[in-house]
Amino acid sequence: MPQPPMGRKDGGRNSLNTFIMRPDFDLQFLANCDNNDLRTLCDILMYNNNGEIRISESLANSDSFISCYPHNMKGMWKDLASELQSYGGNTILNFFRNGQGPRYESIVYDVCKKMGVKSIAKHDTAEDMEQKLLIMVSSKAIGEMTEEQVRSIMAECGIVGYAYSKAGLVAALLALQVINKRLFVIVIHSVMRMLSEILLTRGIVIIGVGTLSRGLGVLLGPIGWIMLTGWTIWDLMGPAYRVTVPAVVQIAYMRVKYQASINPNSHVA
Amino acid sequence: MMTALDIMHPEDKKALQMLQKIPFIDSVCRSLLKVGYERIFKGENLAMMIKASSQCLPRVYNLMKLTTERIGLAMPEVYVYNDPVMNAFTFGETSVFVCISSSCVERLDDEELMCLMAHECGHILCKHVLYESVVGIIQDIGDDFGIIPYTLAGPIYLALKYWSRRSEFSADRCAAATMGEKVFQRMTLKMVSGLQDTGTDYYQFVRQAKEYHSLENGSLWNKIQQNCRVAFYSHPQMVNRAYEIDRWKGSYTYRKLRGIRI
Repeated sequence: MPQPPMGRKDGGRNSLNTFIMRPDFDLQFLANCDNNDLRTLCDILMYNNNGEIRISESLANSDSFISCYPHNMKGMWKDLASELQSYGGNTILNFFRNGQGPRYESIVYDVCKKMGVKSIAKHDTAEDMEQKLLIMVSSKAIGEMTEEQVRSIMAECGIVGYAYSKAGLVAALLALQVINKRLFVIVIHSVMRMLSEILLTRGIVIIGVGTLSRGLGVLLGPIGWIMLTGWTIWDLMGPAYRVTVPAVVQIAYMRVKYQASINPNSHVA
Repeated sequence: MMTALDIMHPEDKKALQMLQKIPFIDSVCRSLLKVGYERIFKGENLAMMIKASSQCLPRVYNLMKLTTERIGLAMPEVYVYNDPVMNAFTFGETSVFVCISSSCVERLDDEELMCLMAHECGHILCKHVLYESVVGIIQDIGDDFGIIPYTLAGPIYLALKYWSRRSEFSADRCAAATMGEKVFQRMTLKMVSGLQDTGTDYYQFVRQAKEYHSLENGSLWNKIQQNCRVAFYSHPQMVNRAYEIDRWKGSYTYRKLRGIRI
């Protein structure tokens, strides 16, 4: 596997090639995430909803991107984190912060506010806020499904003790996020897959040919849900949130998945 | 089989996107070519240059055939013109042709000549030719009529120049992917020096690029000076081209296109 060049800040061609990541505990876990998930995150940071490269992105011409994308994404997790931090902050403020963006915690807070997630407070941890955001997004997604699709997800995931209905699945998700993270992830996966199928039939109308032709990476992730569930392109195109909203949802999903993978006892209440 | 997506430099993609946001640019460019420029230049080629075929200039013809086969493109017409300056260019939207100076044919070996041809094919593959042609047309009008066309078309001209410089990086990638980055570096040295023998150190330009970058980034004033100087260039500095390919050779895309194990 090719490794990113060392000492890139000195070796980079110009300031565009350098990344200054603000040390951020909440993003450290990216170093251990799945390659495809990191790739999806990278795509979200780099491309807009039409599959066009973002003019303001600074990943594509970086040394680490050249040597790591798309098969060795762990090698560039710091660059992804740094790029997200930059998008999360005001450009002028970032300039006075030595090019660094704000901490991830404040980015999640802003995103939750923007998305109308209820009962969040500034002192909440990034993880707590992400969970609430994820529940909200998946609840909206479930609302788009037919009762039959919901039943098939619940049966497939082996969810017992809840009514086989939309409300039942949402209730199960709310409970599972606390008592059984592993099953929570499985349900999230199933919801995602079901929605991908729906997206494939509606995709061209909703998202446009550009994204589809670029590949299904973004569609298959949580960002697909957002597109499907009514927060259409207009919500995502706002000057400050067009990148951070989908990126934070993707990171929230990745964190849940990561935590379920490292904690074998996560099903114990 | 290569695709434009494989080789397009991100800065080229961005510049092209920005360029396409200029109102009516696409239709204006097409109209300009349609009214006659393409035909005029084709006529000029036929009148003043030698068209390569399997019988006439067979080396050039066969190498171009081989190059386009490797890239997966239809073969364009190839012309050779008499010029001691080593250069090549491509032109046209509907009927694309490539012109190569005699000094290139004379001084480049087969691999290097194919690399040069692959660079031109890169422009065709990425569909640069439409806008590139218009850069040339505005420049010609500016040269002929002085300051007025430059003033009128100033912002568009500068935008096109900016994009043109970016597009060269993509075409360079096509050349490197087709013939290998070492051949590309070798060819670059020969093209810049105009000499047939440049020795065996093919990476001189890459080192020189690093020296140039430390000069450029040494101060804000240096940066402004260098960027102002480049603003009217149609091509990026040669050291940057060598440097960009040297960076790109470590990418998965390059390895995939060259059939190197990942």
